[in-house]
Amino acid sequence: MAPVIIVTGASRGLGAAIARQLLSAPIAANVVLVARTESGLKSFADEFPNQVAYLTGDLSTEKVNEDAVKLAIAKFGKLDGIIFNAAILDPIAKIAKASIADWKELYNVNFFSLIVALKEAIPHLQQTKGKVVFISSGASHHYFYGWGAYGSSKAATDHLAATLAAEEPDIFSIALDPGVMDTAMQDDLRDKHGTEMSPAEHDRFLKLKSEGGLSPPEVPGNVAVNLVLKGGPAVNGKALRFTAPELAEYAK
Amino acid sequence: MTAGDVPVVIVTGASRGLGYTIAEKLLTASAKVVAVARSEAGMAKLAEQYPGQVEYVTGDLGDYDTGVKAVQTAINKFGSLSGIVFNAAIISPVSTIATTDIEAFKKLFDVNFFSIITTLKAAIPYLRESKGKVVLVSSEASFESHFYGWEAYGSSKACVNHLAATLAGEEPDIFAISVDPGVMDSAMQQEIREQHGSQMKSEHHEYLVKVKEDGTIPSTEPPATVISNLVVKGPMELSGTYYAFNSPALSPYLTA
Repeated sequence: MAPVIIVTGASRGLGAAIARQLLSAPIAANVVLVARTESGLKSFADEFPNQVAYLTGDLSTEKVNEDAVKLAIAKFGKLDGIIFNAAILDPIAKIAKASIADWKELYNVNFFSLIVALKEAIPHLQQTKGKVVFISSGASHHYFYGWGAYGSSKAATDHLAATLAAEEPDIFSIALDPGVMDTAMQDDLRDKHGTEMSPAEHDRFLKLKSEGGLSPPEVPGNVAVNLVLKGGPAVNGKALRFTAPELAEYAK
Repeated sequence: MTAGDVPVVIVTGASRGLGYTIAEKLLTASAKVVAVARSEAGMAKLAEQYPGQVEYVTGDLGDYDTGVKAVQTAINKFGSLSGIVFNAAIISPVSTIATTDIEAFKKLFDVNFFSIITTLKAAIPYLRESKGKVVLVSSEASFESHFYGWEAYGSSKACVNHLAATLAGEEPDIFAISVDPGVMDSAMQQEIREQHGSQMKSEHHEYLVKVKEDGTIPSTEPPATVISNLVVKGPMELSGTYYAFNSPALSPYLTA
């Protein structure tokens, strides 16, 4: 039977690359796609009839997370995996200028939503010996000026991946750093957030774009897909960059 | 802050346990302390024992006004702010991810993490002026996943570690460090033993019960010594780091 996988933030960028690989041959998975904007999701549904169920909504609300799991069971009868990809970067700002409301909104999307979804999903994932991939970031352990909110939410995500593996022996769990990719999140970083970052850091991201140093999302996307389908004990519970030697077999 | 200035330090969770011991050590060294806690009794006792050195704010840090009030109290009553020990934290909810209460999880983050940010925002202008020092009390649970059932508390401490490093990077005039004080004979440990055993890995719970029963549970004194020293004279070379209180890097601060 085709695997049933939830992908959040699937309308563009890394999430869309992951969705496309899952839907296409040879995997031909059934997917539940979640994003705030419908158009990208609907395109997948049109292109891969009968393989897609989708949900348009903001993952900061608990109900959207619960509904995504319920949709997988209602439409496809089981749940084999989740790729928690959706995240927001805002606010980029020093702690001295923090808007706590903005920090908490980021945490609602990037971290608390994961707990809500997992609560709903765990009984189903236990049944299928399912697999969970959390898209993380190098920011979880590098400390970029102005990135306290996003970076700490990814440190929390890495921690969650480890605890999930420890608590649920039948469920595979990993936090994956996809590196710096040519996506809308990077566009926002370069264009909107320059003044709130340190000049050196901002330049680094500008240079990555101009010198072609940004990965196409399909490359880390491929690793995420392989992990959600066949992630094994050697990397269970870990937080790893997609280029890590331990993940070599998942990069093929 | 020049040599000879009296340190003015906020200590949160100062009514008992590690926070109380930290406040005591600072007061013995003639510092001024602004104590913050939900229960007044312990703080009132310190105020009585160290007249003129203690002001306190009674309130829940989950209400962000509490921390801001502490900063204002330091400035209004003592004229400056040279340090903060973010010690207050809650451990509950202890439960597996599968059964956790998301509202309780978020409330824990209010106390253990978000209130630190709101307090820092109020404090940073004064800490820049005084070249002040911030010590965040962390935990081994911040990176050890065998703390089955501790995701709320443990992840909040992973965030605290990250915050220390970010603060140090953003504020070159402010020292910030995250310190793991280890298992101690405190009210939090009592709560863990008595209330949370059923949601923890049994070996973990049994170990914590055993060290209390056989008397080997460490006291709050050594970590309190390290933390009270760091909030007064933590060196910039260690700013932005995370260490266990008894690691070699912090050994100079283990002596009073």
